[in-house]
Amino acid sequence: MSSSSYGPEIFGADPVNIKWSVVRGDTSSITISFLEDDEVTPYNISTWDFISTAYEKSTDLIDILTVTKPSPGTVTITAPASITKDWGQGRTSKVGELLFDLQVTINGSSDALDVIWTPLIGTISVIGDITYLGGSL
Amino acid sequence: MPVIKVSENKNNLPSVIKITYQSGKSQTFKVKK
Repeated sequence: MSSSSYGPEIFGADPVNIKWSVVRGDTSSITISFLEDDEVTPYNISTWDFISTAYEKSTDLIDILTVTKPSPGTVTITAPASITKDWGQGRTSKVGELLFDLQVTINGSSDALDVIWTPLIGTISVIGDITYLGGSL
Repeated sequence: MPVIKVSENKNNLPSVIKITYQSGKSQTFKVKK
């Protein structure tokens, strides 16, 4: 593509940015598929390492979310109920908001050659729940 | 005048990311290359 624009061309990171709604105290998950150009064939991620964390500014706490590879080219991020039960405060429709991301380490032949890539960032919007199986709040 | 080409090194990354929610709703995003 040729260009002679007057404004700056934008390069660099361009992670997918999503909003993930979670009911407090529920188990919630999203699945991310990495695909080839045809949007069908799974990309080979068999040697990639994944980590996902969520950060709640009001408490300054970071939670490690569960990441699994259920099928080729696919990872699932799960926020277990044991973690989401502590998200947000009060009993309103929206009780909190967290930042989260998914980070990939693409292993090179040495640690120095590892590539770190964050393909997904976003916010977790926490919907307030009323019913609590563990007893009174 | 020479042609200047600037490219990003994203050749080892997948082309497409598809997000699927518990509800079954999904969205597909192209990885900018």
